Amino acid sequence: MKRVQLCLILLLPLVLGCSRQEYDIWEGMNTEMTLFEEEVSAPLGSIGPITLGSFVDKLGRMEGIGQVLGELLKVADDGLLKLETRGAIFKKNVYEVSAQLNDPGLAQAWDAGPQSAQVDGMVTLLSYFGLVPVRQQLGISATNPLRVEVPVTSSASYRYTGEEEHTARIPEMDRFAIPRRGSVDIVSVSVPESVSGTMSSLDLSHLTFDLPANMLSRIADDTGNLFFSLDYVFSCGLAVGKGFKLPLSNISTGKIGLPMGQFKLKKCQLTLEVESTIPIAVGVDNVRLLRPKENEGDEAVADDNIKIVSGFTIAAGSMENPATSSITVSIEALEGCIPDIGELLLDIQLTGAPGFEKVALTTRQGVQIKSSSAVVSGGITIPEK
Amino acid sequence: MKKSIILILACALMAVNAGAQSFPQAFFLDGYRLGYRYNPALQADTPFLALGQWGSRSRNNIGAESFLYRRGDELVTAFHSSVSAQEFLGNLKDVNSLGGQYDVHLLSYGWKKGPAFHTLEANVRAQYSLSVPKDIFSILKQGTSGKNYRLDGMQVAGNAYIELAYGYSRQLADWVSVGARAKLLVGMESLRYRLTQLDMTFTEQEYRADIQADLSLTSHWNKVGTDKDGYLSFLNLNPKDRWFLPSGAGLALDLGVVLTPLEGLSLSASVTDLGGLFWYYGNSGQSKGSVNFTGLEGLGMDELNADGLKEKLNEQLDQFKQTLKLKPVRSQTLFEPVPFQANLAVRYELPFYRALSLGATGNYVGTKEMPYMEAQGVLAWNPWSWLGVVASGGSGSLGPVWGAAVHAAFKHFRLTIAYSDGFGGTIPYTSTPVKANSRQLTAGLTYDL
Repeated sequence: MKRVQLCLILLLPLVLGCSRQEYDIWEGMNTEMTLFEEEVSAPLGSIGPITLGSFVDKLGRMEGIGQVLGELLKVADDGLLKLETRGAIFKKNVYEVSAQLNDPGLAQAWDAGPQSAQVDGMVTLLSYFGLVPVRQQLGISATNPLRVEVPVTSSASYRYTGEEEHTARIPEMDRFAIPRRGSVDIVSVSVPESVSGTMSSLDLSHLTFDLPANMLSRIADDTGNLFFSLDYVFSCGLAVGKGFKLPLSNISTGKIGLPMGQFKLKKCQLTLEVESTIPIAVGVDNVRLLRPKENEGDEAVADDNIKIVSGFTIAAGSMENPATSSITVSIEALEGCIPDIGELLLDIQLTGAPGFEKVALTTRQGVQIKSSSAVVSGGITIPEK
Repeated sequence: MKKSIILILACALMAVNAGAQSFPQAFFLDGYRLGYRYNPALQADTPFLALGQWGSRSRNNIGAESFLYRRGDELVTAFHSSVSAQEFLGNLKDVNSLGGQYDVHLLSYGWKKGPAFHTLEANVRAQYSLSVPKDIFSILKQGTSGKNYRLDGMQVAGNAYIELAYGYSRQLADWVSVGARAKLLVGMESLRYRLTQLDMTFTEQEYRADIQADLSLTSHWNKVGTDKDGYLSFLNLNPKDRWFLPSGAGLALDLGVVLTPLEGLSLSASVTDLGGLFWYYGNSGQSKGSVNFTGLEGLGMDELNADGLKEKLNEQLDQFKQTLKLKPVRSQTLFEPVPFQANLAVRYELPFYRALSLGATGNYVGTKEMPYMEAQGVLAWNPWSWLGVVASGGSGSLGPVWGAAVHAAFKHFRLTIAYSDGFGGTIPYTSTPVKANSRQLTAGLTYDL
């Protein structure tokens, strides 16, 4: 018995020491967790305002049509969003002009003949969609390759077309001088706001340059300019006209790449309160979810299992009277879970709203998500790893 | 986050915790020298000296089975989709707690003088507790459909103190003995962090938390400094020169009586650890405030990306952390009782074989966090003066329990081991109880003088 007692005493520390430090209770266990199984709601916050100005900035950094638009759209000092196009009315090399003179050694008047330029460009295109120009302005400048001032005479007029076609003279162009070695803004013409119509072309007749004798010896070599030229800059603000309607189909949000699949969401509802100062109503419909492409060349296909109930409209507003719209978007997996989101496709309809005709677009106008929230039903799964 | 959710409780369950303890079987072990801890009226047969006694006790009102579930061949956590909210939350208590004690007996000395028996004892005792309300798990499992939650049952507490005890027992008559022990308690360190208010509201428009938390920490070793903003900073500790001074002081009393109304029948009644300590909390802090989250505000075009969102979220988190920061408040002295225990026992020695006795015990441990009550039937065998074996079984607030105690002597040495546990078992290698459980282990060696 004494031996047993002794053994018990000696064995006690061994029994107490029977723990394996490297034992991992999690090994082999399924540690996937689904939290908030019934429903969880969360405030998401506010976004913006996202102004047309910031949108234009973004356009400038894009490629394709976005880049083109970014180059055309400018911002006036007062924040007006303006479309600006530039071009040449007349341009001739000083040597070509000299070759046409009867006696280059004598001072003489040289008739350049009638000149014209189409200035409306993109404006005419936009007018097809119901956008109308406001605060139309035409600026004309001239350059002189010589070291001496060159007087010029002409008869200039511009045409604007609307319901009827009109012509207006530009008396400032009757007689002007191009300073030596330089360029000069000759005139800036504004189309009266009372006039409906878009400035379409500029016409010059009897364009005559009073050239000095031995013109070629008076070329201002230091400027590098060898041309007599007349250039125009046409700019105008944009406003929504009557009956403005621009339907855009299958507009892609671009690559989103949200790895939602791992969270096994069943249904998610977003509620947004949007305030708009843009004088255009924006309707969004037919939103489709595209899964990420497995290969770059694959065609993206809409996932029919995902039901996105959207069909909302952001009402038109103005800086003075912002419009508030409540929007609800629900995304639901009819079977299984919401997968990874590659991109979204949607149809957008831009519409002019009554009372906002001829309200010019400015960089300060925009939309602001004043508040937003999400309700997730069916749980959020946290994967094992 | 996944593992930590479970580890918060599960890890803590692993700890075996404390009580300098007396154990109910002590009343049935003849020859056990330290029975006075259970009932101060119990006297040892002979003077003794005890060195290196150790005891621990742990209690948890939920076990690992509340968090781990078997699904076919697989083990999953409570947050797995195959575990229903009803099943998981049904396995939790309104307040899920664990707590315990560690006791190290530095020295016990007992001697007899006339009809009285005297004891002197020095112990180091430590206690801890952790409480987490059920609603926290409810939110994580089910979501926030409840909208308003009151989560103020959360707290972490712990303390350590030295106990110096003098015991006196006396047989007043053949049939009655009484005893008492007076204990001087010398506080070493105490910590209590309590969320006295945590009201949370979850709506689509707003998450809101009204928070009030108190920290009470003694300054035995260090005085906690502040950061540049005036909040308590545990990176700024100022060691104290006079660290040997106690952080608290108190008294506790054990009282007991043993009656032997009939030959072979004895009754025991005792209360132990009736008292507490006045703790001087030299490091006291309070955080109070409200946090509301209405989402990420004013996101611009350039911030609508992962980095931008992360930055905004971090700003919100910083705001939340700021609310939890503790402002120092005036040092305070608080009285905190030590867990008291009330014990009853009856023992009957079989007349035809006195070495075998039957009996029953009942005891109650009073703690604010998790009061515990237990009753057991006992079978004891004390064939010789150098051997005693006790087995017991019964039921307690945390489920069925069983116990065993062995007392064996070798020359002047006497080894005693007592153990009681629930029936749920533990996760291998981790000591994590599978079910709600009460576990106690006491072991030690005495030397007869």
